[in-house]
Amino acid sequence: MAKIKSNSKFLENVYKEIEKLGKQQAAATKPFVKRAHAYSNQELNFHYQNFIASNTELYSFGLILSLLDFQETTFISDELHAILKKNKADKYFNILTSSWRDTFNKQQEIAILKMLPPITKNKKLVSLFKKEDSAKLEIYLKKREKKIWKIISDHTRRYVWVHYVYEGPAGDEAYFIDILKDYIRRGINSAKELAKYKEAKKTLRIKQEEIIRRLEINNYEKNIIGVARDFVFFKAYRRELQTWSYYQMEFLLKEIAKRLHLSMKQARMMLPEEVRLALRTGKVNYNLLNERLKLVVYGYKPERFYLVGKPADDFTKKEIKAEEKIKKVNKLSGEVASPGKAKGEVVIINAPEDMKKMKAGNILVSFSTNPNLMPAIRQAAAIVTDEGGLTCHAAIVSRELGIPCVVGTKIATQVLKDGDKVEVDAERGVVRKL
Amino acid sequence: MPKEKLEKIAREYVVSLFPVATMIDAFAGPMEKRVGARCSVIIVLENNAVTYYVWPSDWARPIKPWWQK
Repeated sequence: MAKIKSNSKFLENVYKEIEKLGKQQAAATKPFVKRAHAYSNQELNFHYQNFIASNTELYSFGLILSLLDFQETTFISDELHAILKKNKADKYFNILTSSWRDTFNKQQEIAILKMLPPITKNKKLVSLFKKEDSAKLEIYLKKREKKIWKIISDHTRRYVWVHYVYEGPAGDEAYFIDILKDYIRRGINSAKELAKYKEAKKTLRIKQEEIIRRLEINNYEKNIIGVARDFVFFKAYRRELQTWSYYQMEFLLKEIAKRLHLSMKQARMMLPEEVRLALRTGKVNYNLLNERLKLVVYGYKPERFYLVGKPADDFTKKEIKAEEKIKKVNKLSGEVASPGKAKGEVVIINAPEDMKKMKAGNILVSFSTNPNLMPAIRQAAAIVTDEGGLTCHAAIVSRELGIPCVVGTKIATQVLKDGDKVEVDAERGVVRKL
Repeated sequence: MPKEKLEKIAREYVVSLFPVATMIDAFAGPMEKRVGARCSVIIVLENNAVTYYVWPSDWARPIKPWWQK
């Protein structure tokens, strides 16, 4: 913050670097999708090592944003809250942190809205989208509705990576059909939603300027509001640019795994120097990789180290502060990320494979959400997370979708379990067991 | 003085070192140069989740002055 205070261009430069490096990385990994299989081992290693170096550099800028607003260290959110509280203007947090630019995810959601009219004007199709599962719909559309199928395929090609995060899965046609099904089931009126989006875009800057004019704030506080707005966008945008390249890297990793007779999980556990050696000599320590799949500690102290097996177990017992024992509680508190109230059954969802438990109207409880949990998020009556500040993924998405959300409860996933009936009061930031 | 222990700062769903290890490399390398102090992060990967830990005194140096000055 000292750097932000003394140099108003500091964060602007960070944003520029993130955009430049992120786009370069996405472009550099693009050829892997089609060409990875044709690379020599030397070329595979060359591209892998380049990616590691480039991603480390990109993180070194992206993490500056994380340091300023990362789960337990919510400096930017806290500073903006303090400014707004002083002016009795808390309710403007959402609008003041809304970006003028759209993330890729937002662009994808807009594209989905534009896909709706050709489907909703056809009564038979609406009925099929409401009744049939995505696999059956896929077969039907391919055979009988070629134009609609082409629109969905084009959309899939463009946004295949958008919810991939670190390890996928990538979105296929069935995945986007599911999103369309959800929009149709909820009776989303695309013309109305698109008009609302356009109007909001047109008036956002004016509204923000009006609010800032009405607040009694100094130049530093004015600067913080601008920082917070761009900050929310760039936090998400940096992750998206990395997500894009992670998806494309999957093709390179698959090829490496194939040549070294490894599963993808094992390949993802290799360190860069091990990839280099293995691609040169064919030598792989399979046992070590399997140990890492169970437990691995990785870090710097000050030199890089990693531990597996008993040493890793001992390290976690000796070096890590034990978390406080959680007492049985019936009430949890956190921060209000998106206001509202909801009652329902808890479903704990941390990973994409947990999403099969989710039913419409459930309360989604997670230690932190990610874009790859979007299908479950859309069905949630409310969201509760252990981690996160007001600029975290759950907070941003819940505000966009109008779902009540309480973040930063710290212990929700530990004290709640699947099937618990709870009331989420996201006006007060309270979750009660019923 | 008792030895300082690592404290949890975050947890998320990740099952492997790739690409999260590059984040840890960034904290220990270029980030340390940029903020002028050790701000390393240790990760523990277990049960399909990664937990991030720090030594609080390390992080107090680069972050608090950065924020409070």
